[in-house]
Amino acid sequence: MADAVRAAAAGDRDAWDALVAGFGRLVFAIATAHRLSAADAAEVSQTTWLRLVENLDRISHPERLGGWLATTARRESLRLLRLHGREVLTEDESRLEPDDGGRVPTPRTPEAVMLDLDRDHRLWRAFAGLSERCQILLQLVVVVAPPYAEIAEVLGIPVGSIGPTRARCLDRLRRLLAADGMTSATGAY
Amino acid sequence: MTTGPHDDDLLDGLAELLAPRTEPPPEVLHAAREVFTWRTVDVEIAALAYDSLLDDAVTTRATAPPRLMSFETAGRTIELELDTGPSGRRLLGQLDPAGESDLELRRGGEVVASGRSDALGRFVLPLPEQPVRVSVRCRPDDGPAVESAPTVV
Repeated sequence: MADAVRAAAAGDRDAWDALVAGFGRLVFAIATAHRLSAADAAEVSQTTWLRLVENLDRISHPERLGGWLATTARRESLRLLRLHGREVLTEDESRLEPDDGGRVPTPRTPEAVMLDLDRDHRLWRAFAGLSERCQILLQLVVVVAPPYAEIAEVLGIPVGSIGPTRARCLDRLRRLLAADGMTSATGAY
Repeated sequence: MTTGPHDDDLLDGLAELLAPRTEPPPEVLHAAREVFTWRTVDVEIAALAYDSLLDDAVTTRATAPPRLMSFETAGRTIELELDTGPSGRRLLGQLDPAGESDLELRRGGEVVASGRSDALGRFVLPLPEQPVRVSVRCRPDDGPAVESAPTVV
């Protein structure tokens, strides 16, 4: 990866394409994890890669490019959120702690009851019941490999606390699923 | 920290569920690859050094002040202020060092507006109605061209 950064800085287009292939998913997923629309996520992606082009000669630790891109994508996501006047996530790690009890169930239409039978829909609803920071963490956990340095950059927490936090978020997700009757009904997860 | 098989199952389910949000559309990756052509553009890119949108000391105030941005190269700074008035959105700019310069507002490689700074380095450029990613290219009478890093304004 460090070689690809150096080669791209020297003008090697194939090396650049390799960087996009390696990190394009991470950059896009960080934007959508901040609840940006597909169009805004495309905007964040574009601007993040532009920042890298501008800074290719100045990347001091090419081996940590993933973290650099993650930080940049988060900043660009925040910029767009603020541009739209939307609420911005706090840096407070306590928000990763599960709050007690499930969400108040939403009133159910017949269609919704039908959808409830769908496992994905239930998982989606449980996921939506998580704190925003848990959602970001879990969305990125499925995109990047351990040790999750990129996620640590995005959430502003030490790499060492990603594992325990991930476990808490999954536990919370499981409890939300159970509260929704999923675990008891199907035994899944 | 142990990872139980249940965690893996749950994460597999999440990976499937979140695929629409984690898989960039092909055109997004294509655009990212095309960004590399910026390397060959014959202007110096001025990096975004300050943006009041990302300044917590500014954004937490009750009344939002105008958005300010600063773009820098080793030899030149371009300061931009977003001005929203009844007649529309515009950029108020200041070049440092001051001086007369031709200016272009660019969007996706196209010039969408042009102007000229006065002897004090001040300029005004009209902006599209909706926020879009634009850059300001500055062609000073007495020096090399500089362009602000494209930013959504």
